[in-house]
Amino acid sequence: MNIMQRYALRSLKKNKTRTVVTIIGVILSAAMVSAVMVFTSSLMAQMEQSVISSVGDWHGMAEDVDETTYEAAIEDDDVEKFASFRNEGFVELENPNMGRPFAHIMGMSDGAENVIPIQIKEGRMPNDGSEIVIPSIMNIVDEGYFAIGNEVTLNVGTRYSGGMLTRTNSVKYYGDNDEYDEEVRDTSPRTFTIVGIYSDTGISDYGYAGYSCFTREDDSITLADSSYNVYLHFSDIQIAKTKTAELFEGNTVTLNNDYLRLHNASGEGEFSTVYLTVLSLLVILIAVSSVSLIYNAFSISASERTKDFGLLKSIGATNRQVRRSIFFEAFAVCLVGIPLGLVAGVLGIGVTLKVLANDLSSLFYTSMSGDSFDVVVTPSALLVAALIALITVMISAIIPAIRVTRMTVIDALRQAKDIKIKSKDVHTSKLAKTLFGFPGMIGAKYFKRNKKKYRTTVVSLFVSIVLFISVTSLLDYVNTATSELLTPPKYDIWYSFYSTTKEEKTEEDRLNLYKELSEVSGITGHIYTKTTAKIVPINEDMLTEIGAGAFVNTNEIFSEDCIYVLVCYYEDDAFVRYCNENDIDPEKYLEDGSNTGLLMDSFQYVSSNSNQRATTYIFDEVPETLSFRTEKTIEGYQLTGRAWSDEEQTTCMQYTSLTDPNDIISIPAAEAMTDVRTLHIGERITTPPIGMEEYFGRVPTIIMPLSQRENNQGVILEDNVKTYFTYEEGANIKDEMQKIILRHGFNTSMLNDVTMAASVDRSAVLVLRVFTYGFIALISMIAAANVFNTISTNIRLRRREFAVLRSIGMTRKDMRRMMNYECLLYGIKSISLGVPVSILISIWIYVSMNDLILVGYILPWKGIVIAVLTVFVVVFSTMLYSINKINKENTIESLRAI
Amino acid sequence: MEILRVEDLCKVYGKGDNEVRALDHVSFSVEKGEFIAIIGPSGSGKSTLLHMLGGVDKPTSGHVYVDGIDVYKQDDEQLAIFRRRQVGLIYQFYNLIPVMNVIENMTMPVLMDGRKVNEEHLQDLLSVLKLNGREKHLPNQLSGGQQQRVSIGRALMNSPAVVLADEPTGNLDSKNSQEIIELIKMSNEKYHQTVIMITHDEQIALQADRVISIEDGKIAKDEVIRK
Repeated sequence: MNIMQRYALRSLKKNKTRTVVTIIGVILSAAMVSAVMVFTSSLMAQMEQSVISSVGDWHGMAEDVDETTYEAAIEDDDVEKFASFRNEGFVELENPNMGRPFAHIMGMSDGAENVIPIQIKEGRMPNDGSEIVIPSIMNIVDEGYFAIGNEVTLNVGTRYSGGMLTRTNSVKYYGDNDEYDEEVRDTSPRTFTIVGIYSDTGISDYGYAGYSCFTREDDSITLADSSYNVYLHFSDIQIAKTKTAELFEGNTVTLNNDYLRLHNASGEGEFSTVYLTVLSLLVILIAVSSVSLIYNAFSISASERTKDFGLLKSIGATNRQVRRSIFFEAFAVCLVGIPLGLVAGVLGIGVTLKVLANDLSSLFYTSMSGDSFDVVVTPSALLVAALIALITVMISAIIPAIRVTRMTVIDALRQAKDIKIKSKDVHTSKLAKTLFGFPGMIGAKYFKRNKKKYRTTVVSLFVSIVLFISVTSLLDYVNTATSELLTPPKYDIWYSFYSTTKEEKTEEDRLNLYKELSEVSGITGHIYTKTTAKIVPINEDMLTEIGAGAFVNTNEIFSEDCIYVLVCYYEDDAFVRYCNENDIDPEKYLEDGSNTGLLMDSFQYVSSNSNQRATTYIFDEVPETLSFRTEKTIEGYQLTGRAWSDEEQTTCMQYTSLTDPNDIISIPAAEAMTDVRTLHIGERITTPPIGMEEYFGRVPTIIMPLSQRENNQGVILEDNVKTYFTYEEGANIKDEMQKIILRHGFNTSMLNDVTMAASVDRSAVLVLRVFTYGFIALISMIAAANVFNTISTNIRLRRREFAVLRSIGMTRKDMRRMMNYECLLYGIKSISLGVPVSILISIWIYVSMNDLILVGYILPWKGIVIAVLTVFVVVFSTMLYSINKINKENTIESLRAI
Repeated sequence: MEILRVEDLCKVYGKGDNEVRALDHVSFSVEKGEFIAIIGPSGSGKSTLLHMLGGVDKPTSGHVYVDGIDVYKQDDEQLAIFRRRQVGLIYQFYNLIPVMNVIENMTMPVLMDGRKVNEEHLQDLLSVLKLNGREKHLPNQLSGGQQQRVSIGRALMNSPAVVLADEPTGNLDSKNSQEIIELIKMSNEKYHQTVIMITHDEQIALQADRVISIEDGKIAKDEVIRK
């Protein structure tokens, strides 16, 4: 180590406080950059894992590829690995509750499961062509036949859809009827042993004709006209797009864009552009904040040692030697600060990610890995973080180094500071003297003299204030937007009956299913509802202006104004409970023949004046009755449909004979809808019953007990039958309910766990809040350290001044008044700049988000108050600390201080 | 042998009515081994002249030749090296580096040059300057006189062409002052060091071989006291 380096290190040791604060700044900077890098790499890894878990890591694929093309493709030098599925054939499923008419048998290549994920729920993958893996739905619906270990003989044949040979499963099933022909021909029996049941696979077959079943491709079984679905993974992902098109020319090609996008190979909407932009912004923000602190520290250090540098130059140090001394100081600080910062950053983000693991993993599909969010620390991420921190520190040292070398030897020796006092600068505000007396005037003069020094502090405080208040404002809007998500409805699950079988389901079928669902272990409450929309002739005078504008339509058939009203028949027990909870007497509603219901007509709209949400009623006054038109009853017939008639040029209602299904009468709607039913309105309600949240504020609804439906419904063409369930916290209800629904031959697509969905949304908001507030806290710490550094050094540099003032009779009280005045100046200057700028930014945020969130402007007053208080706390406590230290010193020693 | 020559040296501050001529066409020469005192009232330009001679402050016009080299024809780097090797500066307020100990302060010019310290020379200086036992002390652990002796040691370490002393006794009591003057005289006698010393004290000035008086930036008198 040469003499100049030794001098640099000794200088660092001499000013321990400033050195420690500088190192803290470097630690914070390195920690934040490394945390951002590690989080990014972990997020990327998680996203990649999520895609691989759900879809696989193949790059491009083609369906229905002939054998020649297939063999050429898999032998291509650029193909690193592949998965192929030979289309073995289709099997007609006889069980009507299966949901789909076919099973599609695919012979997979060895190792195909390494490219396409197949999540085995029970058992294992097949080893050869005599073994098969089936989807769990087939096991649930018919567990007697489709169970592990069973040997099944399936008639595998060729599918003909609309008379056309159809090898692929993706061609939809349009139904087998007079108009469209679907069949499986040329079948031959194949016997399989069921060795596994899968719950999910990367081969999406939602909406396809058959359930995908997997066996191994057996070379001993030759098929006429072999066709393959082929998935390719290339050694160079960047050629995936062109190479897939080239190898499968003439076939329809599909790319795994979810995967390719993560590796900037999709050619559109590259993910890297987004994440690199966000990453760069974050790093720049961190770097700028850090540079301001670290630059300040070096600047102060260089200023304090101006005379030393002058002396060194006078005894022969070159400018280069002096510059290198300062850079060596910066490097020494990095040697200590950066490793500590990297460790702190990795540990900090690691702990944060572990704590938030459940919330984070719920945002991703990780069926393979379960509820975890792995922290991925790559050497390259750490290296980049270290380099960024190093560059940040070196940049901070450049200007002080250049400033020192530019100073002439004689100026440095004389410590000629750049005090440029013009006559106007000497004058200070009379207010300072009035409020704070002579000490205040001294403090004001000091400010005028040393603008550069206090400007750094004020700028640092300003940046922190703006950042903090702006982010608080953003989070206010995010919280408002997500408040609906964070307060889910009072039920946990809803299920809407939807039959997928060939036969129509009856009310009895629905009630049987409902009963079984209600008895699932963990269910704590259940409600059965039936809702229909009714056309109600209306006089506009009955409605509010907003209601009339939103809801009045013209009924073309009867040439009258009308509104659509939902009539919801609500399970009696639940209806009574709601009435009791809301001080409503349920008696009159339950009375047979009363035809009385509760009116729910609150309406939420966006005011055209203020562009904000507002609430009003649809009806001006609560009507006593509402009448609606319904189809007339024809004896011996039942209403079975509604259709446009070209002959009549109008909508016609179809009635089918109860005894002869071919006897259908078609009556124009104007003639058919002559039955008028009247409902009485008991009272208006302003809080929705459980399940009615989706209609509340949107559409007028009348709620009546279910038992009253037959009395006043009239002829019913269709109902939306919907059920609502609540369950015990932590109960895993959905899987069990799905099984029951499937066994009854209903579809599970309308089964929705809103509590689980809301939980995911809450997780997203929580993650956003944790990271945003964490980031702000760290940036604010850098600012606080900066302020501490500057103010404490400024005060120390004025030791002699304070000693002079003390020696001529200034009391400690006066000293404190002078310092209090300076604190106020720091605080007021930074706040008077920071708060208005922050408010402008919050207005900009409001304007940007107003289309998404229809709320008025929210002044971030909480953020402002916290920022203001924090500024004064930091400034005053720093002053107090420094002044107390100086007050303990001997006056004579301070006067002699060099 | 001529070691130093000053030709028509001028230093002007300010312009027009505010112009101050700190040095006004000063010319003189110094032989090797001479001990010269520069004397003059406050503001006469003594320190300015010394700083010009030491390459610390640039003249407005004129030349300074040290050992045949035109000092101000050099670039910044060469000037720094000149200050390191050819000049030894002793200040009134010692001007030691507060974080370096006695040995480090004294050997700084050598170490900056990237050379090895001549231990024998160093020990000799320490002995002569009576700094034995205080080698590892920091400046704030030394008295004023001791600090000035370290400053002298630093100036002599590189055996420069010229030692320039700016009021070396200005901050010391009479006893220490005399000790310092003795040391400076010793360096002149023992090491044949050329010494130019500024002082306002006539008694001290008369201990030199030659006295140059400066008034209002001009040489008023140039008197040889002893040959």
